Amino acid sequence: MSTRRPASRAATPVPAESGSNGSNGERNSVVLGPRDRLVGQLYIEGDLRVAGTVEGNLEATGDIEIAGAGKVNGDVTAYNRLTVGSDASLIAGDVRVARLTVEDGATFSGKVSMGKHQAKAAAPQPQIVSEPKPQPLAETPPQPPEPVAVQVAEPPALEVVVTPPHKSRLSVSEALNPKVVGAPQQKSKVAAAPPPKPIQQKGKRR
Amino acid sequence: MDVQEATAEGTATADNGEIKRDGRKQFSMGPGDILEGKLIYDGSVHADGRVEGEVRVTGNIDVASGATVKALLEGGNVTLKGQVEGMVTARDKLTLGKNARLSGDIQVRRLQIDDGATLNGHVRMGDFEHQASGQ
Repeated sequence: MSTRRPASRAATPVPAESGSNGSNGERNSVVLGPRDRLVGQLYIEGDLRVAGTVEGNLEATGDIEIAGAGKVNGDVTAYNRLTVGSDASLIAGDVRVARLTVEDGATFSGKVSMGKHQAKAAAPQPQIVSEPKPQPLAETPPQPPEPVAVQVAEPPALEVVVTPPHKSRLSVSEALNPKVVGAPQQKSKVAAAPPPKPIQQKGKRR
Repeated sequence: MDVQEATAEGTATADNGEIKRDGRKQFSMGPGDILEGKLIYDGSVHADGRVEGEVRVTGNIDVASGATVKALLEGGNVTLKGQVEGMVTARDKLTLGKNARLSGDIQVRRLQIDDGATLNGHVRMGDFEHQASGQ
């Protein structure tokens, strides 16, 4: 190829060499000019514009544009958009993109798969806390009246065996103050409800 | 009597899917029309409603935006704006409009995909002279 001369290469703007990856806080952009040529694989966190020749696989987290007389021979993955210009050429095995634009006149062939690639990265985020809350609160109110009647007549040791762990706290406090049964009971329910939640959540997940 | 006349007119318009335009025949479907089976047609087809099977035409195929097509399509210029499932062959040009959703392999000479279109399938591009003559 007679086009590969150092002089012509220096004249072509190539931000890939000068611009560092995302240091500006802006989206990174890499341009391969019309006289540039890449053989191999390229991964870019940002946008890629190809006006030269690429033999190999390209992957970019942003947009990929094959512009001008750009030619790409290889797989192309663009997390966002792929644009193939009217004079450009893409001969690919696999094309994986979220959005695709092919202009009339472009050369395009390959297996196209369209869909959002972000779904893979954002998938593992479980939701916490909110679901288990209503269950213990709903279960507790109807049950307390029964142990109250037992507590007065029998010793505290039996209460601990019979009732669930969070209710035993209630019964202990009630046993210490047997005279005041009605009013403090409800306050202690609310205070005693939160501790068992993390135990139930861990048990469900594991 | 009036009702009978009305129904007669209705069937008449349904049969009038064939319209001559510029000396070339056009088979035109409406949004409520359904085509099931194999259609080989010397002219162009405007597909709307629902199409299932196979459509091969000497002219152009135009799939409207509200259409649902599960069929093999073959035509000169093929323009898709609706939802298509199946192999598509465009002897000249295939155009996917911005709302088009195509799931299937395509063979074309020229290809235009507008932003917003969805394509899942294998794209092959090349000339069809040997295949066009074999119709």
